[in-house]
Amino acid sequence: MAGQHTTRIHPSTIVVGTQLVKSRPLTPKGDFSYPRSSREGGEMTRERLEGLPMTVLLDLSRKENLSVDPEISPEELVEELLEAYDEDRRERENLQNLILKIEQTKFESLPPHPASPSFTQEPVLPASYDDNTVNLVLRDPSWALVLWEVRKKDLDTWSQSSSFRGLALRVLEFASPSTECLTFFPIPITESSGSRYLHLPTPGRWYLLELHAQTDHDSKMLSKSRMLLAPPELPDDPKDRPGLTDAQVRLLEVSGSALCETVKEKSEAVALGYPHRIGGWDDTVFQEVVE
Amino acid sequence: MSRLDLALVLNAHLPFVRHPEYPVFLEERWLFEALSETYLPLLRVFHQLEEDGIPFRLTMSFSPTLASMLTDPLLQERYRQYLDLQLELAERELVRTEGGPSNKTARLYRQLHLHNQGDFNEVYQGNILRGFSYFQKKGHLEIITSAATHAFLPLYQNHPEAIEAQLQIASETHTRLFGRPSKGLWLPECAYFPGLERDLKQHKFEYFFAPAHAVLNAKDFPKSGIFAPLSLPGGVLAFPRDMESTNALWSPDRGYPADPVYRDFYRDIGFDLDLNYLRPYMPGTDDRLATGFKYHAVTGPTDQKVLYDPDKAKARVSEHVRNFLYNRGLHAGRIADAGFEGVPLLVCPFDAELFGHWWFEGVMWLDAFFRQVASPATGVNLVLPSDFLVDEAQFQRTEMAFSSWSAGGYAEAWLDGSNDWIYRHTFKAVDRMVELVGRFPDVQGRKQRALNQAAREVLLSQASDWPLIIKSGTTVGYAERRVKEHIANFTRIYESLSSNTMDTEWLTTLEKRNNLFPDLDYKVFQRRN
Repeated sequence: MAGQHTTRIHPSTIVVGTQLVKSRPLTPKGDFSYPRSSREGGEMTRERLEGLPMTVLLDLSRKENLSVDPEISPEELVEELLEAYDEDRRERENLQNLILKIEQTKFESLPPHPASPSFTQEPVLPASYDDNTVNLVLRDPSWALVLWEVRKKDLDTWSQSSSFRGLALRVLEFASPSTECLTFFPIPITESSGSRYLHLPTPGRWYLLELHAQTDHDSKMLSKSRMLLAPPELPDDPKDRPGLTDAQVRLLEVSGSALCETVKEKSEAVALGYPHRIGGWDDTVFQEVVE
Repeated sequence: MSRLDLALVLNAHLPFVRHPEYPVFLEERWLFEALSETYLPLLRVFHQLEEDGIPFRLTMSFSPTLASMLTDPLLQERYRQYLDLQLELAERELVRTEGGPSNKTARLYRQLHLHNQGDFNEVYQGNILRGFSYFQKKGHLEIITSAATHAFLPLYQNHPEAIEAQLQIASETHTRLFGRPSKGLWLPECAYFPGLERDLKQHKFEYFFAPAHAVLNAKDFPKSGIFAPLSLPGGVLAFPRDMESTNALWSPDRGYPADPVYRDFYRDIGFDLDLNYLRPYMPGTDDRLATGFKYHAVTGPTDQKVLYDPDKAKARVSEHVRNFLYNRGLHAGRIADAGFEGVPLLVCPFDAELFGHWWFEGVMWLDAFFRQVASPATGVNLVLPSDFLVDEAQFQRTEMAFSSWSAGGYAEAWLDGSNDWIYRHTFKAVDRMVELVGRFPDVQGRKQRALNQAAREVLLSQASDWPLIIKSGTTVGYAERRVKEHIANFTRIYESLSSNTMDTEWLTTLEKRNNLFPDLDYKVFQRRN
């Protein structure tokens, strides 16, 4: 149980080294949204946070600029983090979804479920295509979606063997597509067809996934994904790039670095600094902000 | 006064929605609303500016799906029917509001639909692309394309055949419809991944637009900030978006469109008046829906909206343009103070449908903008991206990382728990399409038709609109069905080709329904390394 110097690992959370992999159903219900990184909130993140050691929680709190009491318990820290993530989310919804909001208005004149005659019969897509495949899809610098499936006939055959130990994804890391694998780690999987989000361990590295059937004696590769480049570690606000001169910081500031889509925390000054006048606003407000 | 270059970019896009199998299909209204409120009013503004000798310049992208719909005879005819109904409703609204404070607005709507009807039927004879092409020939407009069905390209980077098909068909469609190749490409959602520039270069696309964070976080420090394009490997230029100027127009809460006097987008007689009165103008549904007749102003964050006053709104438009230019001047000053040497470039990209459809006064704002910018006193010089292609070597060469212009900056909206089920199917369809090209490298007749249609279905399933609609929760059922329908259509062709049992009648019906990209050659999906 969390808070008693023991770490509770949620049943659907697999820890591989220091990496976390979250298992979830193929077609989730409700408003589930997988976190962009380890810096967002949501029910799933609570579970994940509760499964993290205190050292990692403290690291996350530093990233969130939280001032942490040295005596804080893991439960309290999780609550603090969730509150901070929720604030980020609200901030982002308020200030950063401008483009999506406008794009959505193209589709807003109709009721959500229009009663217009639609397709006579809703097609049903297969849950799986009965093939041995694995795909890796980059979502953001930290997370990628893994989709896999295993041919039923193959799985049935292996399952009858006493030496069959199960299926696994193998995550291979490369410095470049032409160099040898730097490291790899396995992720056991139980479903013959599924998906899960994978935390990419090292920014700026190339990743490839292999789908394996494992026996007591060896491991048979069933399929592999194409290699994919995880973006380098980039600051949310480009102004936070290390080693910048004062002149460079000034250039980034006037370039609107604080307004970038990646910036989660926009200060009130930045919000006010939207350089225009709305209704009762006048230009002196803007002037005050820039001064 | 500090001088600056400003590139205004309008991205016009809608997903392919065309249902000849039904006499009326509600989702086709997306196109009709954009035609009535954005595209036709915009053309009228261009004509007036030309007549008045105003030297306006801007870039517009037309996605291949939108361009295909705008040139489709069935949709053109259905738009005529839509216009007839809108005009009939406008006439009834004149009567209903007679003597009341909303009559002026009702007259405004009647005038709008009358103009639209005249322009659409007589000036453009149903094909408004003629109008935009005219302004391109005159040098006022630079028209570019987008990916074939507006796929979010980074999600398909592991399927290079999909990227190739999206780009090649975009290029072919644009040349066929506009009579000249597209110099640039509007990356759907400004979504970029490293290496994409090679594909762009191969298809002779010389530039695209990028989110500011992609440029500011480039591999090497961007020496010009966002005030000049970056040159990516191969010489393709990435033009960064200026957040400050675009937010002023984008933001529904803080931007100009949020001004209390502007017309409110949501309050509509479709939700206010008696259904019996409205029924004839809402064919195809028993539900209420927006009619486009809106009589209230934004007012503020309240449900108690005051009535819209067109004269007040018009006056505010002019004021907001002055304010926009005033702030660009301030920005130019700050850029100079930060040590930037030379004339900074501000790139301002928007969804075209922001102007007129969502922000009713937006087209008027553009008109006033071009008129005020024409004065040298503003210090603003309107430019086109192609002005910068003459010597691309002058721009800093570096590399960018994966990025998009949406919330979060990456693929969060297009790949999450609500919509990630799509990709198992779209990826499989690409794999199978590649397999089909290998099995049928050069066939003719019915098999060729089937393969071409299979390729269309694969492409249609990839539209970024479907996952976005699912994520945003608007017309989710329709978006889900569209993905499933295209995948199911493709799968049926795939299985029929495998068993050599093609149902010709069904194929013909499908070809007539999803009829875009008539010159498509299925071999565009041939295997790539």
